[in-house]
Amino acid sequence: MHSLLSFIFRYRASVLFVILEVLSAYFIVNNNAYHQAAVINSSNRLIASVLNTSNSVTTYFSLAEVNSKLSEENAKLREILHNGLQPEGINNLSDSLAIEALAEDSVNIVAAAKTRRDSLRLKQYLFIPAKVVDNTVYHAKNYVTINKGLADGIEKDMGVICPDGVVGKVKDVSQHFAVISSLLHTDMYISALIKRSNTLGSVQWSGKNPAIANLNDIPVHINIITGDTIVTSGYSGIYPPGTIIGTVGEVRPEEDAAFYDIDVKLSTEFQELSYVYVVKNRLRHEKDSLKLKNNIPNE
Amino acid sequence: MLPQALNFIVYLLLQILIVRNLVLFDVSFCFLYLGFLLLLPIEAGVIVCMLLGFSVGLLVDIFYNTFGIHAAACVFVMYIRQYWIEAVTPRGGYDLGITPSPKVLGLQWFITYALPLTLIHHLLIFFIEMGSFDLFYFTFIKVLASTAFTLVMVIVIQYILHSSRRPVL
Repeated sequence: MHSLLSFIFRYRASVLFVILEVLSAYFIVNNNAYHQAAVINSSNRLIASVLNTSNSVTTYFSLAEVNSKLSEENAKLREILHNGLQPEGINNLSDSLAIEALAEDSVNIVAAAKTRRDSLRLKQYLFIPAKVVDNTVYHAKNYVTINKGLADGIEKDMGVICPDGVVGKVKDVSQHFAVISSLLHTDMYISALIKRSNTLGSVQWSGKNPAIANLNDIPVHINIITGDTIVTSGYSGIYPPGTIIGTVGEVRPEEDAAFYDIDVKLSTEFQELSYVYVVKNRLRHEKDSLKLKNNIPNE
Repeated sequence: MLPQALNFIVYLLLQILIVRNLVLFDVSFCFLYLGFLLLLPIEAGVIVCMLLGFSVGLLVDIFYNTFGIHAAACVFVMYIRQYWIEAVTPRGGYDLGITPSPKVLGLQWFITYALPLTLIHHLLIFFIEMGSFDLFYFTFIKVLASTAFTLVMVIVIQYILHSSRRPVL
């Protein structure tokens, strides 16, 4: 026992070194793991209020741009209000299809479907506005911190969008703040559709250019054109279906490969992010529990 | 002791409030806080250095949302620092009670001392963050560009903070 203690004492620096490194490694793994307990991060109240204060200074420099963006969005929404059109970003593809199918049946069912659609489906998604207090774009794993939290009804894993497109997914939430894994995070996958052909793929960021992401899993027999719109599929229930992600940039068919190598020009300007909407899907839990009951893994 | 505590606060505040938002050419980051660790007194014990490195790293991690990465890199750099200080001992040895700063030991000596340590620190940070060797060249460019940025800023801050006639911290 004595010799063990004297051994540890002699190599105490190395022992401490190993302990600290193992501890750091544990933190790193924990922080990256998806369903782990939260560690301290920028959603922490004290930390976030420091960021908030530092952000409140820089906010003034972008006010003009934020204003013009908001008024643009207002104009768009006003147009929708007057013309009674469904907003393109929030429409429910699967639902309108269901109604068309039902139209062949009796009028009663159509009416029933329409009421259901009005009362529940149309209010399926709630949007909680929030202000960005911290944001990075040049790291390999980028995060956005916003000034809304549990108190405002924000929960883990909710989707986050902005008028231009998809932003990311809530990673962690405290009482008044939330941290969002940005789309610019190398571990983020977003289930996506090519709008024109309804082909399912997944969008992932490579870690390099904050304006470009990759669209994977599109088989080479699909006809794809530069400029095609890429939208969310909504299958995971995180984002409303049809929310724009970006447009197809360069398409590189690889020799003998089963899938295309596609660049997506992201429609969200992550450098300029200032206000975002957190998406609350009121039917999510119902859908998830149904899937769980049938042992279908969620993406 | 007191000036070190002051240094600690100044470097961390600079890092978190200002330098964190500086990114040059989309690839060059500045981890100025490393300056605080590099400029700890030469006689400071390795255990104290590692504990300081760990706590500074964790504090920075919280703001970068990279919990553990900076801590791991700092502890590693602090562990090898003692050996490196020995290896680059100038002729005649070190005077008692000095900090390894460019104003005391000369700019050339300081770069020899700080460049490899900064490079290792940045290599660890960027490759752990990336989590793979995909995009190896891109990440490596980030490391090199950031090493240059950090080192220049550390030296500049040395000359700004300690330009008065009071003794070097």
